[in-house]
Amino acid sequence: MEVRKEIQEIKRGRRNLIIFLIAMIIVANAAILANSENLVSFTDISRILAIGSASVLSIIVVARQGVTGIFGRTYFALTLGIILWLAAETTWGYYELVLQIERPFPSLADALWLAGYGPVGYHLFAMSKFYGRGVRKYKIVIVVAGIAIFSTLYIQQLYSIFGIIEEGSELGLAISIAYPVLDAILFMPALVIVWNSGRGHLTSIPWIFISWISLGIADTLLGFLAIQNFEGDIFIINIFYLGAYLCMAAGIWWYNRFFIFGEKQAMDT
Amino acid sequence: MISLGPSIQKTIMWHMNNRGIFADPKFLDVNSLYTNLQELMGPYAEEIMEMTWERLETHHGAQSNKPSSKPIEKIREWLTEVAK
Repeated sequence: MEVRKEIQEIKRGRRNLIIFLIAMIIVANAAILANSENLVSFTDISRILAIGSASVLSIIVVARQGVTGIFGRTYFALTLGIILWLAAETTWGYYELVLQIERPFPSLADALWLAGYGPVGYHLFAMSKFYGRGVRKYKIVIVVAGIAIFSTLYIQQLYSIFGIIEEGSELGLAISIAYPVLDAILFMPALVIVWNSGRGHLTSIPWIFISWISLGIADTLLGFLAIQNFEGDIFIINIFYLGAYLCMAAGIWWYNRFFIFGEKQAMDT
Repeated sequence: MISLGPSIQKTIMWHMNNRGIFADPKFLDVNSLYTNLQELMGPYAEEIMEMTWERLETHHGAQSNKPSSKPIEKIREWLTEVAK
């Protein structure tokens, strides 16, 4: 294939994916808003569908490329993490929609979410070795300092809210703190890499890292809400979760389309 | 590139073949390979070069007089030495 055509195809694919992703986020949130009387059902189902689509795409990636080599292992880990999160979202949905237990926190769903951090974290750190090349040291210092300050303030704030509300579960507070701490650890490579992005036709958008930032924002907001017995706007938080899951699905689609050697390339060869 | 995994290795090789990088089996322009990798894979290019250098060090006894320089520079330096 002619190089110019090949680059055009990559650019077209990237543009279409961005348009599709934005459209999906808008359509999903508009559907949720249009059915605000069933907000809980629609937000739960939207997240299950979004992470479900990421799971399906990641299984396709593992089936096509196998589990050998650095990329084989890191995408297998990502798939495990995403499947754990799908299980977590489904468990949460089952509690809320089938068992009619409103906001089941803390629950088995939290155990599944937290378990997913291991394999997803492995993927992010392994990939940051590639994406993080050429990062200026001052960017790393700014990001690490910023996250350290933010995490300290955030945990202090959680403690103070926990102190003034009526007696709740210590486990709930521990889990509310565990999420931002784990997020902060994975936030560092994600922020540095997104800040450093834009290079290479195939690598200019670090989809999974952008997804992680959106997930971190959602977890941070949810942490406050969780220890206040979810007295707040779930819709806003759902936008970030949905965005994160869809962005993850977009990143896996991109990898599946342009990174894995397929029949089309074999035909050209 | 083998350590990245067979599928992604084939993809990179396919792109590089399209650009004529491996057209001559007896000659490899390492500068052209690096430039094209950068154009396509951005920051990955540096890591691929680093892995290549590590492999040259381990399996071919490659050494550099400037250990702190970029992997591409170390590869260039070693190739120049070998060619002499």
